[in-house]
Amino acid sequence: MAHPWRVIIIGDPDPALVFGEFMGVIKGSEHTVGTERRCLDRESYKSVSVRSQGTFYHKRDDIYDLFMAYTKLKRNLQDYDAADR
Amino acid sequence: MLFKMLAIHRTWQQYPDMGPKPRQVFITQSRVLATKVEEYFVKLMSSLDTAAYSPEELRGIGKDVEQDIEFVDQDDNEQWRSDLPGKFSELLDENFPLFITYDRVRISLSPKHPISPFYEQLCTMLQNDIGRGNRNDGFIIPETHVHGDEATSPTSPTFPRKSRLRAGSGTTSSSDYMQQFRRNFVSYGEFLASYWDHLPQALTRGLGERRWLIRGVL
Repeated sequence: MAHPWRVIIIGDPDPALVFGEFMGVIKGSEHTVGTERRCLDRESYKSVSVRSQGTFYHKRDDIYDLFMAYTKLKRNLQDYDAADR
Repeated sequence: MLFKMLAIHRTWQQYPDMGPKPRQVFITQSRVLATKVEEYFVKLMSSLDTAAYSPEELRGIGKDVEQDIEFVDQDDNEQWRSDLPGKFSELLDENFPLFITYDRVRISLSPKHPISPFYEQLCTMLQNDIGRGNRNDGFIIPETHVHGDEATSPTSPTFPRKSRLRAGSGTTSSSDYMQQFRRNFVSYGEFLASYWDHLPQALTRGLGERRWLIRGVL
């Protein structure tokens, strides 16, 4: 079935959407509650339903690469974000 | 709230590589409450720890459980938390999680010591950091109303609370630790300013082959 609501934007990813995806889905969704490190691993992230989190559905590997780079940088700087508290 | 503190502490214990020890502080007006909550916290932590004990070790524990009942009112105990350092910045990782009262400057009735030397509470510690804290010059401490939980404060007409921390007065600087703590928080603004350009550009620049398909609901 076609998705009548689908809008496709082509261009640079919006940093706000990317940060929102880190905080809200990878680190902050209900699926992370049972995980040991309090964030989704790559496979779990890729298997999150498109209906609930569809923003980067076709780019989840890239998003996860970005997330790994972000986490590494954050650890080096000894920073913390809202989900680490 | 207690369980959240417990979970954060426990997570750090299990994964110490995740970062420095989380410095959690529980603040209340009442010494009784601070003590009770700490006791409960320690009890919960030790029961989590006993899960890893062997049967022999477990047998040993039972004998130590008996406790002395204290008939001392914590509000009258001048030594209360005198194990803590005088300054907030001198607190060590071992002092955390910290259960402490907000402000209970103790005014001793003895003329020799107008102020008890033991009031190692949060305000005093912060004040000593700021450089305003002089333990001997009485209880003239800048006043600022801070919203506290008055309901938890036992009324004590003999010992009025005189201490108020001056907050945000421009000339003062809080301890290095707190500043460090605030600096290290990644908000979205911080993410955009300090992180975004350092992430792999092949991923953040959606030009050429790498085009992004972003689906959203209108």
